Parts: sequence; C-alpha cells; structure tokens
Amino acid sequence: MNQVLRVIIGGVAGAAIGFVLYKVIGCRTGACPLYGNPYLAIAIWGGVGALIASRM
Amino acid sequence: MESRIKTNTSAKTFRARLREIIFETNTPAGKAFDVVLIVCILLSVLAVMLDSVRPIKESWGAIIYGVQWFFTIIFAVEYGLRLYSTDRPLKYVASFYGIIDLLAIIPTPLSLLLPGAQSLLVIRLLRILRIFRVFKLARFITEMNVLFQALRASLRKIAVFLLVLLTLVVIFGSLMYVIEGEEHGFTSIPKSIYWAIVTLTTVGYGDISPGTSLGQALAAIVMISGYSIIAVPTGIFTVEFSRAMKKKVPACSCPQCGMESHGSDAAYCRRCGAKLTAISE
Repeated sequence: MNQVLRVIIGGVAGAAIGFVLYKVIGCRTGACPLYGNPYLAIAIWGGVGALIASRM
Repeated sequence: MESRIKTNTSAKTFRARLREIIFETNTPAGKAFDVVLIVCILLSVLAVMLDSVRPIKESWGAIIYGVQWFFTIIFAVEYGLRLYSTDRPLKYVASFYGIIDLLAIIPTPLSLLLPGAQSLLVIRLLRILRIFRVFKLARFITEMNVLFQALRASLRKIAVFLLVLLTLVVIFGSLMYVIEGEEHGFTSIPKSIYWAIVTLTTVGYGDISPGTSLGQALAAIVMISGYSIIAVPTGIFTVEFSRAMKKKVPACSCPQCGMESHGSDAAYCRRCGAKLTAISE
C-alpha cells in the first residue's frame, strides 16, 4: 500500500482509538494529559497511529 | 529569458546544497548540521524535563517557556527546509522521521489552544534516534539487529507462555473474587485479575489484599508461582540471543592498517587495499 495512504489510515485509526479511550477510560480529575481532553487524546493517538503505520 | 534560466539554475544549486547539508552526513557541513541539531534536541528535551519539576517551573517557568518556543521555531524552520530541499516532500512527510519531526513541533502551538499539550513535547526525545544515522554507529546497529533477531525468534514461544499466564491470572483472579468478595476489595473479576497480575509478577502494590485464610493461602500459591514463572521468558530469550550471536557474521578488519567496518563480502581494505581476512569476535 502507498506509504502516504498507510500513514493517513494509521492516523485516523489512532485518532478513533484515542476518542474511544477518552470515552471509555476518561479522566476523573480532567487533568490527565492523555485522557483529560478529547481533542488532545485524538491528537496524541492520531500521531501514535501515524507513527506506527509509517514503520509497518 | 536568460536571467530566468540563471535564477532557476542557482535555485536548483541552492536546493541541492541545502539537501546535501540537511539529509546527508558524509560532508563536514552535513555532519556539523546534524550535530547542532542533536544538541538542540537534547537541550529542548532538557527544558521539557525541567518544566515538569514544580519548584524549577515556579522560578524559571518564563525562561523555560521562551526556550521551548525558541527550539520550536528552530525545528519548524528545519522542517520547512527539509520540505523545500527534498525532491519528494510527500514521502518525507509520511516517513517515520518526517512524522516525528512534525510531532516535535505541534505541541507548542497546540498548547495555546489546549492547555496541557506542552507535556507532549517529550516526543522530541524520539528525534535523538537520528544519532545512529549521524555518527554511523554501524557496530551498534549490528548489535541491535542481533537483539531484534533474538526477539523475533523467541516471540512465538513467549506468546504461548503469555497465553498460559493470561489463563492462569484469569483463573486465580476469578477464584479470589469468589473467595474474598467485595468486602476485601475484590469488587469485580477484572479487579481481581488485576490483583492476580500484580501478585504474580511480584510487583505487589498492596492496594488490595486478601483477608480470609483461604484467600491468603491462594495468594501464597500465586506468589510462589510468580517467583518461578517470571524467569521463563528471560530463559527463552537468552537461548535465542546466544543462538543469534553465534550466527553473527564476523567483522572484517584490515590486517595492515586496522581499518574496520568493511562489508561482509569485502575482499580488500577500502583504505589501503590490502587483502582482508575475516576475524571472529
């Protein structure tokens, strides 16, 4: 598969995982860096997804 | 028309020179660029680390914030230059290092919109991976390959072992839930499984502990099992590692000038031209 497409898919999949984790796990205090904010969770996991996809 | 061609040619030369400095490490300028970059990466990571220490943040917060913005701007300029100088910018953007370079920039501007994004700057640490490329640590890369080879070879055996372990913790956890119940903190089977994992791995946080005699007896069995089980993956990996080490191609060094890091198929020294003989490590 095309590298760019793979990274995009990885990023989108990571972002979706980030949103699900935010919804499921969440953060009681709201101060956790990973799950305190939905946008942040999406951005972080999207980046991680893209990074992993680039190495596959 | 002629002046336009001249401008185009000089722009191409500038791009080629820039590409040589940024992407290649063989030239002195390229190496100097990479060394400066690594120093910047290390300093920026240090700033992120210091920012997480409360007393330091209270005294030097403004300076650290300025330093982080300074390095972010430097990295953004570097990212822009990489995009400009490469022939295939999209390929660079989608590459592993391209993504890391971008992720190293984003958190600082993102922190203006989302408080807390600043802590993500630790991702800059990944940029230090470039050190392998810059200093051509070929010997380290060979060792790393041996390590990965051993990990790959032992992966299936360790996976089977982990599956058995997973079954064990589910059984132990469920038993503890039935024996101890909610009054001793075993409020659900997943929580009891968490206790079994913490105990079996010999971590033992102590946040949940059995209160009944039967529970304590079972906990003792889990603890002793953990003591013997924990060594199994180490043994599997050690066997595969020593096997991979035996398979390793011996390094070729020149008997005359001592030059190392020749290819495994090299017949003559690349410095003095003498015939090479393979030596074992």
